[in-house]
Amino acid sequence: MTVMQNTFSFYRLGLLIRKQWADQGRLYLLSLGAIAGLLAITFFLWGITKEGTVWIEVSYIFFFIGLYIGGALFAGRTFSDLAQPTTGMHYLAIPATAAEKLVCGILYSQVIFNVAYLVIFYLIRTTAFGIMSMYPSIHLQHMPYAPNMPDFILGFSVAYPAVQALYLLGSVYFKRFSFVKTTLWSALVLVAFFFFFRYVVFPILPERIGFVAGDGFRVFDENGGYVYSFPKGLLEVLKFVFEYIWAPLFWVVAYFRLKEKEI
Amino acid sequence: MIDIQELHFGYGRGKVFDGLSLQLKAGHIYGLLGKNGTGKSTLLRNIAGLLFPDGGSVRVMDYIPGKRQPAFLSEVFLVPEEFYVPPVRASRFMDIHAPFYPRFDKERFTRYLLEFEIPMDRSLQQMSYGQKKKALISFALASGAKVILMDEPTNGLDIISKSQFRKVLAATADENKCIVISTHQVKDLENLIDRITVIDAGKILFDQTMDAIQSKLSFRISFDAEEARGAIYSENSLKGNALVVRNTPGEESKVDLELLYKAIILNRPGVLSAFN
Repeated sequence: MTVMQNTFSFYRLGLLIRKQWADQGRLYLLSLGAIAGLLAITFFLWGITKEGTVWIEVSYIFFFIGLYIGGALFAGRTFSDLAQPTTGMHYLAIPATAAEKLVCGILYSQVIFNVAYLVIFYLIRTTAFGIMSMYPSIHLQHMPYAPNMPDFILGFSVAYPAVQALYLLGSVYFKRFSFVKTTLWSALVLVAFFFFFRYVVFPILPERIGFVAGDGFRVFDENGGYVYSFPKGLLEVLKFVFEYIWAPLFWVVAYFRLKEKEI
Repeated sequence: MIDIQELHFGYGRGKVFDGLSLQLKAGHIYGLLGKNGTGKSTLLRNIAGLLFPDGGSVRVMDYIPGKRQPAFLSEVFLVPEEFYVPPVRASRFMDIHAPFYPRFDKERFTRYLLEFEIPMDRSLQQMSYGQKKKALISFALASGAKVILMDEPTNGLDIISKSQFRKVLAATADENKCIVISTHQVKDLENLIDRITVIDAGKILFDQTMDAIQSKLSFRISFDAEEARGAIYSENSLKGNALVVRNTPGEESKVDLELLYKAIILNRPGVLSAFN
């Protein structure tokens, strides 16, 4: 008799992936079809209302809007089975660990969806630009001066996995209306965070201690010159942690939430 | 096989179990009886690891259900009263789910489906409630799980299906399996269960084997008013007085579960006195 692996099994993960596709595959394909349709309509409306120069960089905005909305909606459905007792019991009783179920959920919502979205967007944008280039009245061009564009792309790309992981967590955290509740709670936490710093942290800090964008915490002398700040290496590490910690953090919380889920 | 000690459980402030202890052994089909809302389904979910005890312990084959380890989940199958089946054909359902259960018997599953007259080529979600339930029961019985928990399994089944269910279940039971059936349709389970556990208000009111019940109690129809007055429980029926009496002469009578259940609820001390 073989002893069953009770921590993590790639065999069971494979079974879960197959099961998820059998249960949700049709819905996934329909959702991606809908996203493709919306992107096609967006590009079509953008194309027909334009004459003269069309800035290619505008398509990046379309890309990120679609990615964020589609990605959040998709991730927000990861553990939607848990919203109903019947589907929830079926899901929790599947002989697999919480870690395997979480990885399967991440794989579909944060890997497969994103790859599919990238392919769909690339195909539609290429087709749209191909059609636009056939019209002599439309000139497709890169913006001559867009210095913030790389930062814009990098910033939104770095934040995206965290946003998706947040909605994934929301889907296991909230029983009903998880997408709306996640959005509301996130907004509430951000606003509370802002007010906390604005009206609590900054007023109680001594005058000569402050936060400087990009440089973290500093202590100034009477002449405004700084006498102490975090070492550059530490700042780099803190910056890296602050940028990339969120998605793994939300996954870990989702794991424990899934483990403790009762129906 | 299932060892429940001092189980405390509640939903919010409402207590369901306040120190319930129960042991269920392999090789039996247990009938878990009780009124609506007495905690039968809650007990099954605690055993299946879907709910966690507030206090006390639940152990199933040395596993702690709340940990939901895959080895445990493949040994315990719960057929809930309200359940979900995915939008796939029965054959596809088997292909997808069977590999999670190491001892799944595909031949047996197909045989049960045939017995229950479940079409293999139709999506499970397009089937009637009864058909879905029979497909799920078939899967549970073919899964190789050693503990099978069924919550009102005969609800929604027609008369023929109920009889098929009893036949299939009797054929599946063996000395390694522990089958627990929660129901209030006691008539459906006569001749099937071999131990009866009655819970009410989170407590075990009665827990005896059918053999013990048969040897201690007698179920009969009588026109004798004197005998009716001395019975542990009696009720009027068109055929005369239906009685539950002490089986002092040591004769064997068929256990009337419905009558027994009423006797336990309405005159528990009287019933228990027969077993002391």
